[in-house]
Amino acid sequence: MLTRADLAKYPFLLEAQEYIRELGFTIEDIAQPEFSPVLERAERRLEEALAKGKIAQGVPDEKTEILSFPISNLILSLTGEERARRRFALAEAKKAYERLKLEHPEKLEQIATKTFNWRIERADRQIGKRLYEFTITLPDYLRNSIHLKEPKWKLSNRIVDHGRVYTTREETARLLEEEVRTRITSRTTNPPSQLPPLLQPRVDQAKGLIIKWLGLPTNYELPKVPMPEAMPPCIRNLIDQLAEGKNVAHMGRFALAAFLSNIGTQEDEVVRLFKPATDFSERMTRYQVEHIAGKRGGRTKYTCPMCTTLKTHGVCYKPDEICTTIRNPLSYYKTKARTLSGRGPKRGPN
Amino acid sequence: MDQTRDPTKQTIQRKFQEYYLSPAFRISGPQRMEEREYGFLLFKEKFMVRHRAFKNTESLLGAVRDLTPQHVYFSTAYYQDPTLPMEQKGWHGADLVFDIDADHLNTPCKPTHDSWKCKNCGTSGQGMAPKPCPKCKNDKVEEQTWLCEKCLQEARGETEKLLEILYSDLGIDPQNVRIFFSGHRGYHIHVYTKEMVQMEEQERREIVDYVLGVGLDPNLHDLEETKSSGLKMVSGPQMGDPGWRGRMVAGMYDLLGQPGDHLGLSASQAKTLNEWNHEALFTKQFWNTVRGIGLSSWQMLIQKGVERRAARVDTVVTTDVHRLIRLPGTLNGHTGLLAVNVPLERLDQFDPFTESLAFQGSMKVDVKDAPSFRLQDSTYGPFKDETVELPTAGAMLLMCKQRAQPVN
Repeated sequence: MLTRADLAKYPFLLEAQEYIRELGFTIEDIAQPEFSPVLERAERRLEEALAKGKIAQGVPDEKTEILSFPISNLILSLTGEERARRRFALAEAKKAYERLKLEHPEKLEQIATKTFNWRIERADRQIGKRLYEFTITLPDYLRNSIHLKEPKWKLSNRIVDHGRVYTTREETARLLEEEVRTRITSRTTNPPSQLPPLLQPRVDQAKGLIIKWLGLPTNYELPKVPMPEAMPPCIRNLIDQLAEGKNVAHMGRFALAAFLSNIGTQEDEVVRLFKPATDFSERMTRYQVEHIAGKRGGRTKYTCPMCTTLKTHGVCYKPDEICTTIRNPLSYYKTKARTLSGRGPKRGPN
Repeated sequence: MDQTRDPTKQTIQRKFQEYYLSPAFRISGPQRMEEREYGFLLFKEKFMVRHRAFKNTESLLGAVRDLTPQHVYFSTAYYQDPTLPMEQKGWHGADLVFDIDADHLNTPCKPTHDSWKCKNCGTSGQGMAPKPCPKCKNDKVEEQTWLCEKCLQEARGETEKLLEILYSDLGIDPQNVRIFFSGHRGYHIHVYTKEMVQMEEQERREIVDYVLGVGLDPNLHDLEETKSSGLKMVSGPQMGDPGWRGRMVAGMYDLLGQPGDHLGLSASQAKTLNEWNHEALFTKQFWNTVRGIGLSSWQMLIQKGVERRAARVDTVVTTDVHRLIRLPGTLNGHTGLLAVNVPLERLDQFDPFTESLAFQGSMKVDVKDAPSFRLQDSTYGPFKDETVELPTAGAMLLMCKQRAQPVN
C-alpha cells in the first residue's frame, strides 16, 4: 500500500492523480492564498530542472509536493517548449530513480504494475554472481532498455527465460526511470479553456527561465555549409569505399545519402559521390537521392539510420571517442561541427 | 496482350496461369487478411502492383488469377487502410517474421552447384558469388544459384535452432508460430504473439541480435578470472543455466564433440582439448580443469560456441515493419515451386522436393546446363546441352532457373 509520503515522492503515479481528484481541486483554486506554496514549489521544481537538470528533495508538506507536480506540468505545456519538457521529465525521472532503487521490492512491484502496467514477478533467484529479485516480460524490458546504451542492457547480455528477463532491484529501478521519463514527456496536459489570470505571469516567468538556462531557441542545429571534417568515421568510410570503387551494400548507401541530404549537401554533390560505384546509373541514383531527400514519391524526408541499425548491418566503422556519446551519425556531426566552429558546447550561458 | 518476347518466360507465365486457374490452386489467406497490403510482381517488365487490399480469400484468388504474377506478396504489417500511400496507411503492428535463406549460408556444397560470372570482365567461378568481382572490382556479378538438398537441410537446421530460442528464451507459444517453405532456398518463420506484433523496429532489432548472438559479451554473463592465493581461477556460466548462459556452454560442447578443427587455438592447446573429456562441461568447475586453457582461450571458445548455436536469420527482414513477404500457397517465380505451410511437428520430415510441387504431367526442354536434382523419389540430371523430357515440375524449375528453354 502506498502512503501519502510515497505519492509525494512519486507524484507522477496513478495513485497521485487519484488523490488529487479526490481532493476535488479545480484550476480556479490556484487563486486561493493557501495555494501559493504550491505555486512556489511548482516554480522551483521547474527552475531546478532547467538549471541543474535535477530536482532536490521536496518540501516537507506532502500535499504541496503532490499538487505542485501537475502545476509544473501545466505551466510547462503552456510555454509550448518541448526541450524544456524533455529536460524536466529527465530531472523528475532521475529523482524518482534515486528513491526507487532504495525501495522495498513490494513497492517497486506495485508502482510497476499499477502505473506502468508491467507484468513483473518476484524471482529472488541467484544466478551466477547476482541476485535477481524480479523477472519482467520481454516487451516491458525492451520498451525501456532500447534507450539505454551500456552493453549490459543489450538483450544478448541478459538472462532471458521463457519470455521473461531477469533484473536486479537496481536495474528494475533504472528501467522504471525510463518509464517515468516517457510518461512525463508524453503526458498531454489539456490546458484549461480559460487560463486563471494568476497563471499567465508564471508562464511568462517560466519562459524567461527557459531562455536563461537553455538559451534562445536557436536554429543552430547544423552548420549551414556542410563540414566534411565533422563527419563520423562510418560516413567517411562509406565515402572512401565508394571513391575506391568498392561495393557498398544497400544500407550503407542509404545511410550515406540520408546523412548527406540531412546536413544540407546538394543533390548533385551526393550523386557525384556515387559515381565511382561500378553499378552507377545517374538516373537511378538521382531518383533515389531525391526520394531520400523527400522530393519524390512519398515526400517523406528520411533521416539517417541510428547507430544501432548501422551496427546490425555492419556499416559502423571504427567508432571513436565522440561515437560513445551519440546514437546517430547526425548527432556526431552536430557535436563535432559545434566544436570545430568554436561554438563550444550547446548548453547554457552559465 | 503479352508483350514479352522471351519464349521461356511466356511458357512459364502460361503454366502459372494454368495452375492458378485450376481447382488445385487454393490459399487460406493470412490472418486478419483485410488489414494487410498485397503486392504482385508481374512477368511483364518486372512491374510491381502494390498497395492492394482484399476483404476475403475469393477476391484475393480472383486477383491472382487475373494478374498471373511471377511473385505474390503480402505485408507482415496490419494497416488501418492498406491501400493508401505508406505514411497514411495507419500502422497497427506487424507479425514478427524471420527469414532463413540458404543464400546467406556459406554451405560447403555451394561450389558444386552455384556459380557466378562477372558481366563486365567475364571472370567466373564456382560457389558463393564474391562482390565485387575480384578482378575488375565491378559490382555486376551475376549469380547462378541452385536449390540443393544440403543447403535446404542447413536452412532447416537454422530454423530448428531459431525455434528453440523462440520457445525456451523468448517464451513464444508454438501455437502462435507458422513456418513456411519459401518455394526457393529457405524458410519463413512467422510469430503472431500479440505483444510481439506491437513491437517497433528497435525492439525487433534487439530480438534479431539476440537470436544471432550479436553484441553478446561473455564477461557480462559472468565469465571472469579471479586470483586467489596466487592461483588464477576462471569461473563462468554453467550448462543448464537459462538463456544464452547455458546455450554458450552447450555450444562449446557441440564444438568439442567434433574432432579436427583447431578452433583458432595453438596446436598444443587443441591437442589438450582434444584429449580432454568434454563431458566435464556438465560439471560445475570445468573452467579450471583444462591445463593451458585460460580466460582468453575460453573467450574464444565461447565465441565459437555462440556462433554455433546462434540462428542465422536475415537481419533486414525481421527489423522491417513494413515488409512484403511471399504469400503461402502461391508459386515462386524463381522455381515454379509452391510456397507452403510446414506443420511445426513435421519440420524434420518436410520434403520440399515432394510437398511443394504444383505441376503435373511432363514436358520436353532443351537444357543448357543443370546439376542433378530430385523430385519425389526420382533423380534427374545432371544435364548439359541436351533435350530431355521431364516431369513438368522439373522442367519448370529448370526454366525458372534459366537453365533450360521449352522445345520448339
